[in-house]
Amino acid sequence: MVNFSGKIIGLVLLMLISGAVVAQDSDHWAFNPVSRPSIPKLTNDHWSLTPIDKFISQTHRQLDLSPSDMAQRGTLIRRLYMDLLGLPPSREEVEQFISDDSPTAWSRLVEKVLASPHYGERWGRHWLDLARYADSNGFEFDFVRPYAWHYRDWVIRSLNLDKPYDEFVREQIAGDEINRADFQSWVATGFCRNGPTVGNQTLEKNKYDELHDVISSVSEVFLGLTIGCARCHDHKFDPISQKDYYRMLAIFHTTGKRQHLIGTPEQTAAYKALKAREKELNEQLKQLTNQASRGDWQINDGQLIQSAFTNNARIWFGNQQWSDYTLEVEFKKTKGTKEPFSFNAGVYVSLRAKDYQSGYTVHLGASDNREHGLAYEQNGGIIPLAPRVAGSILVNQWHKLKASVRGNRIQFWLDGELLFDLRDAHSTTGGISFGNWSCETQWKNLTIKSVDGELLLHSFMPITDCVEPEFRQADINSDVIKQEISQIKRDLAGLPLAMSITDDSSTPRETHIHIRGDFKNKGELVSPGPPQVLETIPVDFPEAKEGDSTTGRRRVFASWITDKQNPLTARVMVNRIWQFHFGKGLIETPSNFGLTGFSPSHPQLLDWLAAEFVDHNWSIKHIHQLILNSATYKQSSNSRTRSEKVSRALDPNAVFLTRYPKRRHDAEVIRDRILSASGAINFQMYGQGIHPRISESIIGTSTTRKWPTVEVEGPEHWRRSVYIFVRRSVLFPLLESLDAPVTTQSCERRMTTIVPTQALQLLNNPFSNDQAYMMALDVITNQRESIRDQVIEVYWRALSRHPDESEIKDCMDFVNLAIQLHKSQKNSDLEHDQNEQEIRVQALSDLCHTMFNLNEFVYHE
Amino acid sequence: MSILNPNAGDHFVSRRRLLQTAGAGFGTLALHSLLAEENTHGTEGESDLTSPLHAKEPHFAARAKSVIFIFAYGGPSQVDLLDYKPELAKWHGKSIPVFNSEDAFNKNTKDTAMMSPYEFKQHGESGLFISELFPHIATCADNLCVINSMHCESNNHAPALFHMNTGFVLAGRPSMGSWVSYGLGSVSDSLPAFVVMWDHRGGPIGGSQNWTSGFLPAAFQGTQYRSHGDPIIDLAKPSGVSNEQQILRRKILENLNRRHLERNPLEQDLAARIQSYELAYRMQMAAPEAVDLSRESQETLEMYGIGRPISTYFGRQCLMARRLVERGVRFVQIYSGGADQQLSWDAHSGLQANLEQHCPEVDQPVAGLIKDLEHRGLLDETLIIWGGEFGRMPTNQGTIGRDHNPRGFTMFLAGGGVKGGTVYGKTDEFGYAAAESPVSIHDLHATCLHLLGMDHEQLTFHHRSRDMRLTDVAGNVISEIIA
Repeated sequence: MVNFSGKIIGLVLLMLISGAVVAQDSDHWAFNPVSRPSIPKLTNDHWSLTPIDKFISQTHRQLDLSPSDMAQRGTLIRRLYMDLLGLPPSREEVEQFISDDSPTAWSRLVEKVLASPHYGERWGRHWLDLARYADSNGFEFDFVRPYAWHYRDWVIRSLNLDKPYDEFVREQIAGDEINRADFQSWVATGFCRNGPTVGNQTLEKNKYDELHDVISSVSEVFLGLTIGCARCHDHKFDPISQKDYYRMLAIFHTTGKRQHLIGTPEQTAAYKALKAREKELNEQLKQLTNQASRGDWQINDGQLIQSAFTNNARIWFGNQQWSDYTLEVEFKKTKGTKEPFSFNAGVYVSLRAKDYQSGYTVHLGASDNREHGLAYEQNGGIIPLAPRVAGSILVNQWHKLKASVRGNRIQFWLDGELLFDLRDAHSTTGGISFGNWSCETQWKNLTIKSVDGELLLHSFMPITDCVEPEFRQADINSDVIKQEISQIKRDLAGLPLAMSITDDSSTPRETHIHIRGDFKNKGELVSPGPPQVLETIPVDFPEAKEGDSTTGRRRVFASWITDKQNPLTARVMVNRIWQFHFGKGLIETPSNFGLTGFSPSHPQLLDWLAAEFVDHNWSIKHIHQLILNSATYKQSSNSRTRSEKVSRALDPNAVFLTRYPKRRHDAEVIRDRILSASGAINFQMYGQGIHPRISESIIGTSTTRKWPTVEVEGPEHWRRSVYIFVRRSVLFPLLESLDAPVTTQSCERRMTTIVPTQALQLLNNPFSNDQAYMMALDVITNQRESIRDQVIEVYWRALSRHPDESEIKDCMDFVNLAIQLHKSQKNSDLEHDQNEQEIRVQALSDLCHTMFNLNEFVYHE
Repeated sequence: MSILNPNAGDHFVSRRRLLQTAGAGFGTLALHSLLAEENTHGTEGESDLTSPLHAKEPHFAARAKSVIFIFAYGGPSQVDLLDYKPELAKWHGKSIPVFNSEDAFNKNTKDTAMMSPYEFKQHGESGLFISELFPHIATCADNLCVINSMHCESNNHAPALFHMNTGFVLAGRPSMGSWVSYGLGSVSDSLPAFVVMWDHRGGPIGGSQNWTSGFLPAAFQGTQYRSHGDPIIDLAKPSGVSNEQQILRRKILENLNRRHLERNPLEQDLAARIQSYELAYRMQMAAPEAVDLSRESQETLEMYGIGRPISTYFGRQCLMARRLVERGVRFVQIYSGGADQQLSWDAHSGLQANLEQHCPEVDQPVAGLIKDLEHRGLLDETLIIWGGEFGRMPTNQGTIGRDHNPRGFTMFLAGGGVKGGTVYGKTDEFGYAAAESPVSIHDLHATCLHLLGMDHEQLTFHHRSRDMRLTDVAGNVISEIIA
């Protein structure tokens, strides 16, 4: 124990030296150039495999720590696949690797996995977090950004190609200036467009708020500097002045947003044609009137059926002389609409109606099917008579309406509940009108009784005895037009339109300091430039030449950022790569290398990696290889031996890499792993975002319906999660609750929370239950006869390993119990064999469902 | 917060308990005995488990334990409800000198005064002036603390909503409910700390950005409670899954997770995640019970206006809110008004039609809530906040509407340690702009946190190298309204 506390004291001392002591301004280590440190020479070093390990081991020795044992081969290959691809290895891949004794087995595997196109999908997601990527603008109505996805695809492609990081950075800041003819270069500038749209008071203020997002994101993501803090005053702690902020603003000040088509002449023509057609259809929509129109009313088997999906179908019947009477009828909406803003949609019943557009009219399912209203209609004009009442009309469900007019008292009941009860004297006599808007309906059991109980009508009158409006072409279904408009929008989104930036002019806008951040309060005039503390790297912003379209300032700035002498750029990026491999960077504040950020745990290693990065042409994959081939990366995460336990006690957060840190998978990886286990995964890459099913009660409560309704998911929804449409106001619930970023700002590192709502989703959402069923069905139909074989197959698919004997036994017992249970609950309306098969699938799907919920399934180890 | 710092040791007890119970294999149990065991032991209270949202001590003695925020979304018109301005009648149809077209949102907003078509009377011992549109709320006059001098920065719904909910006009900051949950946790270990209920016409503009946890952990974001069907999405097991099946699945999950934990004995997060499943199963029981109104007396239902078609929906939500705070939920936010324009309190195109729709929807339910809480002795520890994201112009838009007004508006507080029967602050004679003791949104937030026992300057979260606050760098507690 004495020894133990001695170690702790040593550790505390070291942390004091390395961490807590804050350097002074320009002496700050991160602002000094990177010089390649020499690799530590260690005696009796049997552990290290690569230079990284020498640095790690040196610290271990200083602190009297020891590394963990190497993880088992099965663990290693799973770790590698989940880390680089976000997908598990297949049984064959695991078995092959485990049996490969060659000393190069691991490095060959690393190379193979790095070459997979799925790598870009997984690591692209890390970059999209930093780039605050979304497919909608987030503000107020959260409008869709139909071309944003090109940027997502550009990131995935760039990473798969191992595009040199300096080029990757330059294109995102100034792609439009670097290569004006290249669509992808314009797409790359989407980085500067991904922030949420701002709308506040004035366009001028909005512009500065949006530029603030660009300045903050560029400086944090590429430079690891929180320059954004200096908008209103000099940075409190970092040597960044307010002037630095506005010098940076001067670089972006002339920049505006663009939607740029760079394509073939055919694509340009297609664009024009689609735009014209869209305009035409919008005109047609405007033509649609609110006037009553002819539906398709028929009587069939005693029921009145309206089967035209038109705007305002009405029908009138009865007797103009009727005055006091009670109507009872049942109706069913057989088709409704989910188009947003369908305020007029719904079912209409009028009493004391002189014709099909007059009378006391109850509107059932008004306001996007959320309310019922009562009005007096006269020739299509409307006088509301009462406040609306909450309620909706369900599709394919019979509702009972009762209505009574007696003197000036008017009452309506729906399904036995009183809706309206009021007095009014607009109309004293008249018949009945039924109607519906953007619906199809059926009606039955009609009775109309006079006040003394006399039956005035007990069935529907023949249609020929009813009065219907004239048919007009303009009343055809507006949904059809809206659907075509949606299709046009999708077609447009397929064209090479970049959501990009470029300068409004080659003459730069003048830039002043805004005193206290207020754009109306102009201070000193400033010229463009990087933060003064970094001015050791020369930079010159020349005037634009004759014929230039832009100021050229961003191009110059991008070159300055990616100058090999820039002390921050390479350090910041290698730290990010390290972080995504180990869950935590060598610096724990990855977007803040300033004085308020943390100090590096291994400063020499950080610099060595930064030097390697620049010297290997900024190759991200080179850094991956250095890390993945290290002994550091291959350590076990379990802490099972005595020495490992001691190390964990001394290094609880794995800051000194005495083990591989275990951590929960990111949200996307968990969903993708479920799809992979079930076999449903669709590996189609790229393109417009997908909209997997979201509970109707989340979509339906927003008037503008920000997500399409999906009744049943299909392969088009089972693509990897990186392709899920990012709607800022309706983040995909499973990902959101598992800590996917909110996209309003650059996300440098995700939090991991553990809350019961995550459990509820994985347990109860139709997604995990459907996928479990599909997985079980697939396992059983693929010639896995015995329950034992089925259990083994389930383990391989879900966890990429062979279960041990006791696991097999418990799982087999479980499946047998589940079979008993399902048998006891089954009503045998199926054929015996079919029933038997169904029970087996259901029982196994209980096991599959359990797999998705296991800690082992959602943890990276 | 245990979930933030997995090394805090909060989960240690449960881990040990889990390891102790790791015993006989799965298959030694027969189906019936397994299910029987579940029924006798499986759902018992597990007091040694700590909820991730466990209750925390406030900075100082709190007046209120929980908040019910009734958000009149769209911007209710102060001069027709609670800010009595007899002068407006004299100016009716005439230009008022204080009008500035930059304050208005719409171009057709005029500078001519439009008097309130509603009558105001004094109520209660305090003699508060309350409009005839709130006959029930008027009976609670002596409970109300009316703030007539609210003002905000934006005249547009979304930024103004974000401002009221999060303290900032730009989206993305944590909401007040999230801050309160972060600061105080939940008293209940089986209900969310922060519950949001929507109007039947839909949610407010900006959707979940209004109850986001922003940079705070996701655990603190508002959970949407629905008044019909399953109250929380994915709370109930799917309809095709039987109780017995769920119990069986739960058993094998526990069994396999336990084995995994044995292989990784020192990982606190794994134990915490097992615990979160225990909590989830408990929530399945507790969450529907909390909003099950079937045991409420007819008298109570009537008090909330449940049974009258116009107020039934909102009445149910107010009653649900009482049941939730009784069970330890910290912050309940109920939206009145959904979508936009006439579906919310956004009376651009018809002031009277709008108010005569929305006032009767909420009047009796809000009054019922205040009375019911008082009757149960809960009003002192429950802070009720009523108000919108801004107010409305005392001038007319078009002929019969009123436009947005960020310069002056009214909110009221009740219970939770505020002085009842008081009016704080004044607008000018027209009800146009806050004129006396102006109250900013930061001031309101600071005051609410204070009533909950928290210093708004100390309730911080370190993010992007700064200690972030709900009140940014501003906010003053209005001590005058604290009882």
